[in-house]
Amino acid sequence: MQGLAAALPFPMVGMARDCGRQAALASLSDETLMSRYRDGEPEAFEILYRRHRAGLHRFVRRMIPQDADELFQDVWIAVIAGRAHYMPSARFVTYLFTIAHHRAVARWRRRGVVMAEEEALDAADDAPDPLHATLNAELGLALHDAIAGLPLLQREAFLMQAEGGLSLEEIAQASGASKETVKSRLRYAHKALRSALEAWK
Amino acid sequence: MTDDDLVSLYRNVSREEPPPHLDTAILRRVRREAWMVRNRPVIIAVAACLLVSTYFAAPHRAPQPQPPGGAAISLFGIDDGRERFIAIDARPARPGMNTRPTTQQ
Repeated sequence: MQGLAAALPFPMVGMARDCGRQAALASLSDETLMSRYRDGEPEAFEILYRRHRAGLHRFVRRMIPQDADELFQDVWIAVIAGRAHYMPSARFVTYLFTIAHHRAVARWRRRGVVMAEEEALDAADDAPDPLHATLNAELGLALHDAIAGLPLLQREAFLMQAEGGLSLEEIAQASGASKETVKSRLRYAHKALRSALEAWK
Repeated sequence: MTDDDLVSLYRNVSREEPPPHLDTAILRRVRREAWMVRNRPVIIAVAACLLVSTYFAAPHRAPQPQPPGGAAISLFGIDDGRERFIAIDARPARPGMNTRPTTQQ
């Protein structure tokens, strides 16, 4: 490596060193990257951001379509601003989705959206008509439509599972609910999605 | 269809990416903050120099030169193409004395 660096002109030596450093950082876990960012390595944040940007954006887009971009930025800015207090006590993705949950709840409250559990379970009956979903040209669109029709709390639980890969306990931690409640939300969500996709079988 | 099948199906059909301007805004912020942290001593030193130089350059520290005779006279206000000379009598005025500048062509 030193021989290669000696053979390259000066700016390329820097680029080669940066590439090597990026590759070394890419092999680290999320929690280590966040700790490194906290300790003053901005390159660690860039890798962390690139790992989770798409999943988080899809999550916020399906939770609050109107303010998705704004909410997405809010969440990352909260991660940046709170880095000094970051303690790797849970998985980074749980930490990220916990922030997203709190920001989303604040926005729902501002809009006067009711998030009571009963409301959510009652609303499960209002899921979109499966026939309407089957009219969509693609299965993906039908599934996305069905997800959009889920009550907020069920939708959130399903998306945390699907986008963040969170376990039951982690979803409970991120959304501030009990494990049993989350299990019930997921059960209702899966049931509604399955019935919406019934016609595709 | 099992629960895991549903999640796998969702992951297969969900490939949307955030718009690039969001990436730019967030990463630029992180890089700017990192730059500020890295160069904090230089920024503080430059700010201190500016503050000190502004203080010493303030009017109360550096007295401005006063015009002679207590009056500022400009030739540029009179421009009729002819050269003018202005003589100023700097002696203290006496009663009855004409203190207006005399103009000669």
